[in-house]
Amino acid sequence: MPRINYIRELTYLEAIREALREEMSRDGTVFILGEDVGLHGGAFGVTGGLFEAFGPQRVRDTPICENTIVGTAVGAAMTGMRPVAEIMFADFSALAFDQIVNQAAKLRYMFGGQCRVPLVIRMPQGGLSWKSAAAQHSQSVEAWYAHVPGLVVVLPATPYDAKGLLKAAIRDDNPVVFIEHKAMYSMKGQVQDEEYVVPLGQADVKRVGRDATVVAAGYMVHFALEAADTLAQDGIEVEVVDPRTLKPLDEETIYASVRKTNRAIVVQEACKTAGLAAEWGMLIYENCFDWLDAPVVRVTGQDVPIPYANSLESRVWPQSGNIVQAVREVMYLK
Amino acid sequence: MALEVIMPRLTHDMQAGVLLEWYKGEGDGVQEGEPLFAVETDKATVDVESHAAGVLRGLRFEPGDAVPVGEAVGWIVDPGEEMPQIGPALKHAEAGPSEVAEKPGFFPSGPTSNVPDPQAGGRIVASPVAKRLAKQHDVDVGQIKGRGPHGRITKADVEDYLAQRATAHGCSLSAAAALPPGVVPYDVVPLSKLRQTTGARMLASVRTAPHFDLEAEVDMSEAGRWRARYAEEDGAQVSYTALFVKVVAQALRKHPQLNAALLDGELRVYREINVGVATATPEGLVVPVVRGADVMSLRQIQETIIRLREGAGRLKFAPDELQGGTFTVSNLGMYGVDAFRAIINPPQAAILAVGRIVERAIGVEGQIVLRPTVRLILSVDHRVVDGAQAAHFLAAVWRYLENPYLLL
Amino acid sequence: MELSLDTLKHMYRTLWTIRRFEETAGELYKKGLVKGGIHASIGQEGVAVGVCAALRLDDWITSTHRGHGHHIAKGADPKRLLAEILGKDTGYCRGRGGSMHVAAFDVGSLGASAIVAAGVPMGVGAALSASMQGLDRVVVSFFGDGALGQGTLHESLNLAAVWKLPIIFLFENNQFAVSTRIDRSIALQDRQALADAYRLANACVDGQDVLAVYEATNRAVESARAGGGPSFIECQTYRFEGHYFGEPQVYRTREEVEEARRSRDPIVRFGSALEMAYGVGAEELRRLEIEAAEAIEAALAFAQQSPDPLPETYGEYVYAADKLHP
Repeated sequence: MPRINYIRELTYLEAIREALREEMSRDGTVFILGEDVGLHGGAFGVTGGLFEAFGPQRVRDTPICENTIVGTAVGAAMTGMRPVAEIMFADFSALAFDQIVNQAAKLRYMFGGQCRVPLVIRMPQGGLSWKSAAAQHSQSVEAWYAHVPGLVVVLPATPYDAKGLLKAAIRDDNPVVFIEHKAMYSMKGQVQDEEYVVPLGQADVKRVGRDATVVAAGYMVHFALEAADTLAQDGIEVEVVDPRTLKPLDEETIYASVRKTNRAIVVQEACKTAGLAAEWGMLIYENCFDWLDAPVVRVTGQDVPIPYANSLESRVWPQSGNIVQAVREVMYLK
Repeated sequence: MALEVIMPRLTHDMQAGVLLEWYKGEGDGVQEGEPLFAVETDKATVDVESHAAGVLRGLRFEPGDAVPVGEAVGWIVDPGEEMPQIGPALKHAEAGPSEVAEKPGFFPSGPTSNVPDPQAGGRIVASPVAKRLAKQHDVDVGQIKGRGPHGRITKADVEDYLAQRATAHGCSLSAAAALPPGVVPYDVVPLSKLRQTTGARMLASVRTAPHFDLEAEVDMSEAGRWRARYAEEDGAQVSYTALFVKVVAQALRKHPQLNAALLDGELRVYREINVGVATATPEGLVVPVVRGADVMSLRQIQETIIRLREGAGRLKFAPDELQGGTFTVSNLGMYGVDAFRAIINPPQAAILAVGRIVERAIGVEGQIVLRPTVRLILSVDHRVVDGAQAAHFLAAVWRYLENPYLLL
Repeated sequence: MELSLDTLKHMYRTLWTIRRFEETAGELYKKGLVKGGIHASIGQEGVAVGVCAALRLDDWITSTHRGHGHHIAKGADPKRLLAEILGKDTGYCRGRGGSMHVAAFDVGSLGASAIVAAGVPMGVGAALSASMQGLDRVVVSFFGDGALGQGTLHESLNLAAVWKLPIIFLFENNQFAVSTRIDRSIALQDRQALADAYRLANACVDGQDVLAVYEATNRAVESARAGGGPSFIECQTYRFEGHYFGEPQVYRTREEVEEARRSRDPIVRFGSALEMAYGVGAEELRRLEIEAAEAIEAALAFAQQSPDPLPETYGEYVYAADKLHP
């Protein structure tokens, strides 16, 4: 875990904004485009103040045209700029699927290395405590994009990670899908004053333990930590591994942990089928089979579109209690 | 008609708002659309307007209170109307970030179809790590009772079994079967992996390497004095074994032919001097190695030996602690043995066996005196080293022991 | 901008280069030497040549699946282009793109996309880039009648107009989207009205008249360079081959195609114009044609002798690897 000088508490949203501000000051080719990002400061307020600081050339409001927002960003990225495109809700990225998946991800490869696409696409996803947004405003989309060769996919869980990873993403020459969580925007965390970058492709052990490994990203990290606290009361010490970058994945950190604890739980907020938990589980089986004392267990959301009514919605999300149960199961405890 | 005035939800994830200021007071008349109070959310300060005309009554919160969304803060009643009965004001503990629903609920993972009994057909079900652990300790995993689902044998089951076995003295009386006449009753004690390996190596060593031995009796009085001075000055208690390792290492520097091995018909004279120290463990003999003993100080050697001994006690070594030895020292002095011949540790060229240091009568300048002496026996592989070379080496060893200052 | 005689001759030769290139590609396809499909622009050479004559080397174009002509007209080397079509390591894209995904960044082509209309928003992005970096470059985004059905095309027209970007939307109308005639699929009969509605300067020219294409493009380019914003140019043209080589063209009659070849060949027209108005002799024209043919023959030899990419390099270029891993 990083040793931080406990200098400031920022919210996740503020941390992201700070990263944008710093990178835009540092590099004149970095600019923002998206719906309502300018005067309005973004639908969630992430880009607040940046329009005033950098002007309309570098913080550009667009019409509602996700595919063309991303396509424009791709064209600009190919020709010397470093755009940061905002998609208002991750669910809407489906409209830009062609430009993200068929174009941004593949142009460098298809053109035999003649160009780079140094593009960042930011999008908030998820539900949980951001309730009642229902099926088209609450999804988790990381698996859609992790499946595409050529994309980098990031899902930070803390303000510290969010700031550092966004800076790394902007500086990186690859197309990065930078996924935020709308329910974490108001979550506070320590962020140091000194400039820093969190490298892409590097996981973080958020809690050291010896009895079981929990692999979780995004909001699920906090559920995992909550579950760990509950289990600690019974003397069970859980290790929480946060991949941070989902693609490419820092596999070695996960394996080192599982080989130490002999037990793995993989967690995702997304609905179960074909999510990244399955990928992590399989990698663990491929690389850590002989170290496992129990099958790898998944904790995930249910395979349904997110319903509107609270009583239904709360039944669909995974909870920290599920993680506690899962750990007890792999430890053969009641 | 009494109409509730509530704390409205002003942002998507708002759970509560801080009531900053009342613009109207108890009993004031209000118009529709008139601002009643100011609310602070985590984004901005917002005025909440009246949705009706009437008289404001029953104000329930003070400026500074955090009010949950949907909670009534007051009523608008018709002039002259009575206030409805109301319960106590509910304050929100903190107007902070939203909470997550508490219900732990169901468990969405695990097998989705009916999994048949894996133990069917006499299969032994054990987790991969349990199998590995059992194999490491030469235990038939099938003998162990499994407490996991479907009788799965888990790591904990194997560990418990091993712990039990360790405390149960390792032996068990054989069944009360009648023995044929003339056969002495016995218990079968399993040969540990380590013992088996050691046995095989020693047998190979004796069979293939033509051993010959040289003996020396060495006056250790100077060494003893030196050791005491070292403890006084350096504050570190140095064992005789460490001293022997140091001396041997320096002697090997002068006589590298004994720091060698015959492997695959090839004579290898090693460039590093890694002295192994034969060590007894509950499971058998191990020879952890002090790597680079010739460039270590006496204290470093001492510390290394202590560390290696600790490791031996737990039977836990790093890979390079057991490999790469070029010469071995074996010390049985602490058990009261005067002298012994050791078997060379293959594929090394030689081994030095050290006996106890005890006062013996020796002749010095025509007098019989009592001096602490030690008997050393150097065993050498005649394929690699001749008598003269071995003698020179042994001479170097006892010269250092009798004059430790030569080591400096 | 007046075109010099040398330039005009170069344009004529380029028309032939494209024509011979496409025919050669077609022959390779019929022999089974090209694995994917070839979407030839035979009959549409005039548009590519006329447009690119108005562009500088450092201006950008985005192209389509029918993009060989665009690339050659922009200055791409036919050798490397043909090598790419044959999937060779010496191709522009090192064999990883093929016919539908050619690109030649060194001559200002940002690549062909096989997704209809996908190149257009990228062109908008490039124009934005030029504008933000203070470069006086312009972008030409080629698209066909099929693209008019795609939302992203309209989104791009809108965005370029709102942001006043230096881009020319080049509508290469060859009347057919695969098998669908434009009048059956696009409700906009009057594309000029479309351009007007988005407040784009616009023109409509006969795509088989190279000089007309050049003049319209040149006007639009000069305006864009001077900060006049985006334009929309429709070039009415015709493709002589099927959507791809070997397509059973059930959607039009053989007579229609032959009539077009006879009376609407842009090379024949331009040749006549050169003879009549610029005094270029028939000998000279023939010489230029032969030069083009020889260049293509050399390209074919080069491509056929080039090595295939090594199988173990399949993973190269997925990421720009420099900074990703710590």
